[in-house]
Amino acid sequence: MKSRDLQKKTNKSELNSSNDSHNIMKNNDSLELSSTLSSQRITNSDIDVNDVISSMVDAEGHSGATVIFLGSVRNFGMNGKVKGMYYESYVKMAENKIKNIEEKAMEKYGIKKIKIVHRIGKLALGNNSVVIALSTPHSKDAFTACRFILARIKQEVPIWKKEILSKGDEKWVDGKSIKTN
Amino acid sequence: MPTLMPKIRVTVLYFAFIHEITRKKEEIMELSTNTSIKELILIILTRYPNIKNIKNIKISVNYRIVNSNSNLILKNADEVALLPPISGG
Repeated sequence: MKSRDLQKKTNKSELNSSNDSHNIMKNNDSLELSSTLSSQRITNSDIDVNDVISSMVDAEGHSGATVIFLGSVRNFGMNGKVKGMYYESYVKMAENKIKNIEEKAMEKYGIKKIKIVHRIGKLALGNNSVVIALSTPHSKDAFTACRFILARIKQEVPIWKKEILSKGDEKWVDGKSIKTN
Repeated sequence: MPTLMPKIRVTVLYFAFIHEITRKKEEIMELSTNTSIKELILIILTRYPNIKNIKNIKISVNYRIVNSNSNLILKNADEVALLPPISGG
């Protein structure tokens, strides 16, 4: 299947996913957030990277470094050649966990601005699944903080992915047990 | 006339590999009051024995991870989730 066809299916799937009892995002799931934190950390829409970058602009100059990590769908995975990926999440818990990771990282690395977004639903090859953006006064802290956050997301946030394989079948990725603190 | 046992209703959520076993993503279970999380897990494993084949499942109650052997007593309207190993990022 060509990626354009998969993208069409992706869009259709996203429409269908509004009925998905796990991935549905209810209005009352929104969280009380401080002004420096993002308002939506789990999304079933394409992540607007330019918007994320814009949110890092610091007109007062508190930060000298901004690091952005983009995780995207690769064409090979644990079960062979991949043509797409499906992500599922326990949305409310995942939002809480990411917020908690943001707060810990901000305190630990002196982060001035931060935005983390993880996409769910059906993604085509090359689509961004996760974006981490943050700014700090010095570059060393920004790189270290970004690695710290990505590792914590993989260890703590209830998100699961299923590989849509080129040979036609689909397989859940055998991940890691959720780490508890 | 026999007295009716009071009941509570909890929502149980199944994710990823687990909902492929249960064939449903969530269900409401009616339980006796004073049912512990440990007892609920036994009920679930009796209903869906193949869940035992999945290792390292964590349990959450109202978004907090709890010990699956816990004697924590469930309350009406609690949300319990079975969380298999994760793979985000």
